[in-house]
Amino acid sequence: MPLSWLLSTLASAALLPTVPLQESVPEEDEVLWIHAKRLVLRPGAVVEGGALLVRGGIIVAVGEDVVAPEGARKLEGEVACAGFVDGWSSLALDPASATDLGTAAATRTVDALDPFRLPYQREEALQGGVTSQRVQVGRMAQFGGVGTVLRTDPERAEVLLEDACVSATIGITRGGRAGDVFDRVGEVDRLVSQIEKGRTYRESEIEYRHELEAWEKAIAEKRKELDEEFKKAKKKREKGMEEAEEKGKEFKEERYKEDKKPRKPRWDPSTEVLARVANGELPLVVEVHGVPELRSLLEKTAGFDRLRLVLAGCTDAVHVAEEIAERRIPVLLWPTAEPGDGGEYERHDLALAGALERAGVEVLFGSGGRALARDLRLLAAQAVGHGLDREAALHALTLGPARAFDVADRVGTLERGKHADVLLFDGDPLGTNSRIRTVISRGRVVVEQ
Amino acid sequence: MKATMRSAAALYATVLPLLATLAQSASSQDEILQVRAKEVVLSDGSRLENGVVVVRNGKIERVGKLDLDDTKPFLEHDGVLTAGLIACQTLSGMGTEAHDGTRSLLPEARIAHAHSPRHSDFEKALEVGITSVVLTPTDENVAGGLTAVVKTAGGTVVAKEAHLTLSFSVHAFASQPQRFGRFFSGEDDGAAEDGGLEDTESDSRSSRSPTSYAGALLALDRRLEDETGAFSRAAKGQLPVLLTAWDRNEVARAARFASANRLAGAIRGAPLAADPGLLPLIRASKLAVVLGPFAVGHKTRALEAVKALQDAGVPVGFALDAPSSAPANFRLTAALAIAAGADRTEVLRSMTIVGARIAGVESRVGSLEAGKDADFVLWSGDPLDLSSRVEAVFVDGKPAWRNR
Repeated sequence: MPLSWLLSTLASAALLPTVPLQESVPEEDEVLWIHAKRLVLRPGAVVEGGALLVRGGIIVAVGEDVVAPEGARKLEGEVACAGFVDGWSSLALDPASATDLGTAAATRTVDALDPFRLPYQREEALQGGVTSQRVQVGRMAQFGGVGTVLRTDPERAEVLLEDACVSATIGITRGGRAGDVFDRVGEVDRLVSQIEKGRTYRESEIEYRHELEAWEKAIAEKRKELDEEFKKAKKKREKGMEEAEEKGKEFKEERYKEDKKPRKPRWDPSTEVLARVANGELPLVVEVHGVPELRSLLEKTAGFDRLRLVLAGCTDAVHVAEEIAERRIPVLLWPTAEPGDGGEYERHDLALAGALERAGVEVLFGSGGRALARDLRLLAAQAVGHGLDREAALHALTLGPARAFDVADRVGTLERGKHADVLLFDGDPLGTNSRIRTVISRGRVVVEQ
Repeated sequence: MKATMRSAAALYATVLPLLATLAQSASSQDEILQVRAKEVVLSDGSRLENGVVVVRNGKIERVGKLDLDDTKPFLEHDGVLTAGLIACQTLSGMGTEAHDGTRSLLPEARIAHAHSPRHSDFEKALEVGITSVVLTPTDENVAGGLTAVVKTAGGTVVAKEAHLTLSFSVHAFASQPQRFGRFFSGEDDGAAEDGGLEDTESDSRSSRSPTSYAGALLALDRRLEDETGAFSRAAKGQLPVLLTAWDRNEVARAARFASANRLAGAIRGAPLAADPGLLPLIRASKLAVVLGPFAVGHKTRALEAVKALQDAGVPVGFALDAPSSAPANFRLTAALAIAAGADRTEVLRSMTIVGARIAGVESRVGSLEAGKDADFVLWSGDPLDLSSRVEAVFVDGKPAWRNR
């Protein structure tokens, strides 16, 4: 039995998050005292004139009355908020992996990471306030594989969460071939059947575990029974052997019904990942744009009550916004006006984020699988300029993606116990005339400008 | 914030139709409009609090801290008022002429003829606050023709012949060598009409078509000795040039070409203009530079060019480059330049008065000054802040676009 399988089944059975690779990052000795006139703890929760105390990379105190201990390094600014989380980037990936068409559900982004690739991109992303990012291989593939949440800091390529999600796409132009509406809806069917396969696998796996348990119990009982009646059984066996010899036949050992061991369901890595998706252990991010495939996807996934869906791209999502809102599905957008950015869906609308938010949809921001982290804040500001609420925009840059990708226990807000990922601005975090002055990543000052 | 935006929108919803009816009813008399804004940005970049702009018959009559005349139509704006933005290059609303690289030399072609004022590209430009644009011919030809400055509403052509465009792009010189050779040897129809790059006189030195980029440049030099036509007007300083150049070498050649022939105008492209090897050449040529549009993820070095050029005293304008670039990128370009260190006031001047100067129409548009066209934009907040938005755009004193 492969050890990794054992580990992953054990972890999933107990509903535990997978243990991050490098949890043992060296502790930062420096004590930071960060004061801001407006301390945005989380979108909507503001402390006027508050401070944070950071020790060992962790926020240990928050509030108006937090005083600087002796020897602490003091940092001050107009506004402070949590470091931005890019919901979808290609940081530390080579272009071939980022756009690989051959990825499967079990392809792991963490295996493709090259932490030493283009360090300037990381520097620029940090200057833009993005302290962690969800990185994903296979942007163009039907199944992109397992995404990873990575810290941006080039000095510490810390993996925050190795298995953060599984990604898939519907109706994306692949290898120059754009599908028509039937192809796109067909892709929805294939995706849903894969989730179904995962669910069936998980069910049969659970069934197998129960059967195995029952079998082991039965075997133990039978063994006990045979042990107790050992002499009788021995005699019976010897007699049987003699009889067989007399008749010149081959002796057959007595068969017990307990001999039949339950069969393990056929395992393959993709099905295992899909099982975790169907069971809601990993969110499923689906890039999907047109109304027919959006409708079809929403309809066909409605029966999977544990599935955690995140929709990405969503050019035409305003037409199904109500249903998306009702099912509390977050939508991951890259609010750019570049023509052609959505392949054949050349209608990326800056007003989309605002329209969805007004319909009650939770909006998240990301670079759309590219390396645009430096400008993520400008993109969010553009969305605000086109009707998105400021608080919702800040949510889309911080807590939203952190929660969607299961790292909100450590990043996304400025709260006690969280990693100290802090941005200090000289003005409004979503105003493009204000600048990010200081960026702190896990208690370390990484940008001062 | 949200509340004020909503109320502002409501204000326009009620006032704008009113304005339209007032404008109609007063057709026999002077059409007057007064606009008071919380902040009015003047041409030097200074900001006037609670400033008033008075418009009479589509022209700005006065700007300043004035009292409103209650008997005349007026508009109160709880935001910022600036002059309409000027884009120094675009292919908005053009058809195949935007890509037609089949006539290498058409110096007299007026792109104003390709202006289709009702094309949706112009409304898209209006939406981001652009009121005038420089329409350019394709840069796939060596001499593409004459640019035009047009307004994005009302179909006004501000300048029919704004620049002579020359492309130093290798595409113009070398994309189709067979056509190029034929053209330079005078067999091309277009060349026959325009005289071609080559002397029609049987000069043994020039009867061969150029075989290199440098040879073509020499041929261009000779065209500047023409006695009439666009080349001659450019050489005499009567017509500015717009030189397209992208690579380092192209930019260097364009700057040297302009210096040697004492041409005035601008370089369009030049993402590496801030390169220490290029900046002195550009400065010496006294050309302006038209940069952008930048999109998200653009190389930081190109973004930093805006600051470097402005610091060096080189006028900078911004391109719109519709329809291949989205209009929203026009303001994004400014925001990216500011994020890369450029001065806010200078960037806004680049988008207005400096842009108008590069377009050669600063006497009519580009700033809020008495006598100029009443082209202005009402913003919800600071125009350079992407989180603020265009609430309404006026062209020639008339409401041309508003945020619904």
